[in-house]
Amino acid sequence: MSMNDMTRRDREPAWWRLGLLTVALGLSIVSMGAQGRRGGTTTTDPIYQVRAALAHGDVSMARDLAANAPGGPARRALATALVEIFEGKDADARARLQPIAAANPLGDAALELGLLEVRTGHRDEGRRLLNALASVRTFSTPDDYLRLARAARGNREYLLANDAFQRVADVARPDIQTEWGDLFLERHMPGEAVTSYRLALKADERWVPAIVGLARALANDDPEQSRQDFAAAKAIAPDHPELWLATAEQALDDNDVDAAVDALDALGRVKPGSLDEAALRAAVAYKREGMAGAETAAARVHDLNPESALGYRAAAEQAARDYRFDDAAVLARKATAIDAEDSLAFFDLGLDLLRTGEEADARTALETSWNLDDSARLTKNLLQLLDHLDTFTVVPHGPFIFKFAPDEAAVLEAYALPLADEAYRQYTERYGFTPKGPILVEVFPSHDDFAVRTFGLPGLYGALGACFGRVIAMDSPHARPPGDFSWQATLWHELAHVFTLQLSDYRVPRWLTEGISVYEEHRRNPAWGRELTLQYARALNKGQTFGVKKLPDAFKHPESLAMAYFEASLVVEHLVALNGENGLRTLLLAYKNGATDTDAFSRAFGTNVDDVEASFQAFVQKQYGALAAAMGDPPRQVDANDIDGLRARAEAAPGNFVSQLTFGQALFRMQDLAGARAPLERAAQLAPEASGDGSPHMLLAAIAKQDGDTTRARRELRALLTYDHTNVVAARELAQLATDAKATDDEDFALRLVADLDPFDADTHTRLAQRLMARAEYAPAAVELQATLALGPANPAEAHADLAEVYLKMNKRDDAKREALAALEVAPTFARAQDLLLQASAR
Amino acid sequence: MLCMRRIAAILAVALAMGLSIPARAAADNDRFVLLVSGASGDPAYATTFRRWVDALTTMLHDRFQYAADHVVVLTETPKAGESKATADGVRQAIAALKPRLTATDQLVVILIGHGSDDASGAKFNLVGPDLTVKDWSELLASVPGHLAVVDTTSASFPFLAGLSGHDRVIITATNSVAQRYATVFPDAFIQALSSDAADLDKNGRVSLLEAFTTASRTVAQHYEQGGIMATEIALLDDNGDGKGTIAGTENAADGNVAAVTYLQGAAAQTSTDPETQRLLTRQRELTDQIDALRRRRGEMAADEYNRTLEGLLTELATVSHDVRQRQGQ
Repeated sequence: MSMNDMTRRDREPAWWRLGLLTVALGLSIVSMGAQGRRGGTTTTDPIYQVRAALAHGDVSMARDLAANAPGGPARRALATALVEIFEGKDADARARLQPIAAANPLGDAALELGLLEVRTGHRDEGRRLLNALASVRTFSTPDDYLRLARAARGNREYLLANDAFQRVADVARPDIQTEWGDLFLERHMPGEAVTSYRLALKADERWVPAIVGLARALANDDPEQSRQDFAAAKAIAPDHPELWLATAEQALDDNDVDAAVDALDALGRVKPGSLDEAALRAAVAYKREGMAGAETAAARVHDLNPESALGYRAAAEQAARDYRFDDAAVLARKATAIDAEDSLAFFDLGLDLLRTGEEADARTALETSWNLDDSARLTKNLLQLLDHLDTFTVVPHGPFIFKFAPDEAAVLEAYALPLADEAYRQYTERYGFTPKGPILVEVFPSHDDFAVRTFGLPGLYGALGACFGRVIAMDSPHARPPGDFSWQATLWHELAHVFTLQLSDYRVPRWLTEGISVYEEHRRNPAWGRELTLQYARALNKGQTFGVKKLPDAFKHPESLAMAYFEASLVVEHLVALNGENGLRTLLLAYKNGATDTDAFSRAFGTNVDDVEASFQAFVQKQYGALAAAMGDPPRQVDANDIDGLRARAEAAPGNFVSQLTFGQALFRMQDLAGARAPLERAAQLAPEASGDGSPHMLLAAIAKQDGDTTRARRELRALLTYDHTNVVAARELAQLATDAKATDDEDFALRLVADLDPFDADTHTRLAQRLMARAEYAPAAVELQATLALGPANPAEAHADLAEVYLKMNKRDDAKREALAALEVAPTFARAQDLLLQASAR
Repeated sequence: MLCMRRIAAILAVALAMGLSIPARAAADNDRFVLLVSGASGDPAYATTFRRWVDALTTMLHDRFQYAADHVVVLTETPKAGESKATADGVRQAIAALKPRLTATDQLVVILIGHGSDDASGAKFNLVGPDLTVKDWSELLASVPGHLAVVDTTSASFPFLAGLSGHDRVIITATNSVAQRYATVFPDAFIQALSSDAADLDKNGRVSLLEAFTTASRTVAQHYEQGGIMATEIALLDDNGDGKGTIAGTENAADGNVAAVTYLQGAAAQTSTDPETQRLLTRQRELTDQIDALRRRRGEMAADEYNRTLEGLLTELATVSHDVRQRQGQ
């Protein structure tokens, strides 16, 4: 079943935090008074005080408070049960809660009992209790809304839960805001969760569940802050169960299984027998023992709660984390078999199947997830994306299946397929390996579609492509402004991942697979993958590079990611220089066989990481030492308009790039073009890799043009484009200068670059075709002309006639006649097309 | 970016309608141009506007063989033979042109410079007091002959509705009152007028529709390739409804008159050699038959259409080839 956009729009949930939802709640709202909004007397309630003590990790105080709680035996029993639940003593808590819940089925005891029953595999009983609570529509305090929200969430009625939270959105109570944050986090809305957790901490900065929630919510976007939050929680309550649970999750994210086990052991000590612990142990078991281990661990979860899919879900998430999406899909499917009402399990299954390229099955799973929970934004995004993908042009080609947007297909097909073939051929030979296919390559003209295909959400602004082993998703040239990136380099990069991931059975560490992909880019085109050369040289000058041993860690920090990619590729380049290309294959196979970094280097190269580190540093110094010296800070700071100061600094530091460049730029700004030339030439000599509008070569080209020296201008632009390979503006300029000067070598170079960067520029295809025709390269000329016609040429009659001429040269008379007729249909009196028609018709 | 479908739509208008209507103002002495380059406001603009004026006048005189007195030029800083681009200067120029024009003549008015739009109405900025679109409308109201106005300036959009009329071609560089930034359309339009590439139907001349289409494409590329938001989209109106059409619009209401309006005169081919003249006559007959066939395309089965078209095009190609041979080409 496929939902069309209108249907999905109809189902679209309103914007959660703004509270546009309308549920039955609205009719019976009792406005929260000022006292209620502040939390007021509620915080003096003994039950609240017990919750607060537990949230602060002070179990001892919680026990004391519970034992002495005023309000009668029932209140004391409830307070004690809360402590017992915290400590994992569910059976004791159940016994204590049951009589109170029976006496008051709409009270807190009923809520806690209902949640406990659901958690421990008595879903029907739990639902019965929670349904009663979720049906309440009379509210007088924030606690009434909180109770409803928690009951609804326990019943998987997420919209109702959210609506209840909205009614107390401005109540400054840490328990309410933390619970709301947890709901957001569960719904894949970390940004909203952060807001709630921060509100909670504003009310009580020691509320450990909020600190831990914040750390979880920030783990991807701000890992440094996340680490700090973890540390803060640990300082307050080192043995808080939620802290240990989150620590275990984070350790698995960091690929540190031993640390995860330690954390789970600690969790087991403070809260024995919890479902969460058992579920995460399934993830650990998968990591250590694969599918068999996951099965055993999932059985333990089953013992605790036969209705819970959490064990298989955790194992599936771990498999997905390890890029083993086939396993992840198998495990997620088992999760859905255990709990057919778990929308998140179906969502996970859908996402995993998308990553194995099984889009039809993915749709089925996602539709089921949507039917269970039509408030899930990610599910909606992915289903909409699948609807959109249905409109794409599918191009099966050898081991590949390409999917292009309909209006891009004709052009991208002409360019992408040969490039993919070349990559496949090279990689197959180089790595001695044929990957499992088909390899699905989806090219999105909208970056947000690419981001949704990758992670379910728009955004992901730094990424250009993604590879999941057999599936590649990437930006098309239309997804970003012209000259922003080379889509061909992206395709080449991602295809390398297909080989390294599969050859290593998905065990290659990230630093190595990225390093190889960037290295492969550079190998294909010396300008590709070297965009950060100057930044790297500057870092080298400052001693801020990572080296071999710190590279894996550098990949965990967003701020160092770009440089980590670059340096990883240098490591690979160095390893190839030392051990030959076969060494890479050996290294990947070592990882496949379970080696750690240390083992892998030893097995592959008979050396240790320290030795590789030492030789790498020597390699880097030899290759980039001079550039690093030039890229150092200038001897002193000088104002950009202080021409005398800049001159003095440039004279004092002839080997310093910044000193030369800034002096040259200042003279250029002042229109002292003759004066600017020398420092700019010096800067270009020191760092020929400098790119962009303010670069030495670009400015020298501008000076040459103003001097009327177009030959020099072309030379400078050519030098610039040798490194600045995505500068489509400079490439167009060079093409025009070269055309005017009939400098065919420059013209061919520049036109090819423009066509590669911006394949939707019909005029460039036309000009390129004319150059190819002039060189009697008719087959590639035909490709360019077909692209021209697909895009809509400036002059269709001429384009058809050109293609007719090319076909005639290729002795394809029928094709030539067809094109000549097409030209004449547009322009019946077009003499050249008439002659071509007569030639094509002559037998 | 323009796609093939859009280009095809442009051509469909030109082909379906254009070729069946005799080109207007065939004789050189029937065509006039009034070129007004207004206040620049800035030395850089002054240089640019002057470059465009010189390029246009050179094209008109040297390439299109306009007589000197058929091109009336008003500029901010007049050179020899030019007048001052003031409101009075415009009034006098139009007043002087009127008695020289007949009902079959053609006047193309080209405005270069800046435009503005405020409470008093849209204006073309002249040296001194400006003329509003209403002023221009009144000035041009009683001009005899075929009139085309190409307002290449910023804020030119209101001129479309303001000057629209029966059998008039109005082109503006912008398509909304919000588009008030300096335009690149004039440069593209002037280049298109003399570009072989803009001759989409390969009949040896560039019509105003072809120039408009090609210039619009160039403008779109300028913004697209620069990665900047387009601040101008040109419009054409020639059916008198004052609404205007963007280049490439499918089934456009406008374009029929512009497709047969040329700055360049046509040289009708005749021959004293009877056989050559017979071939030329047959050539015209075949061209007319092809035009008629294309107009009926929607009513015919594809196979029949293609077969008939191929026959006609092949015969036309043969006849044209023979003509060229007999003419020694």
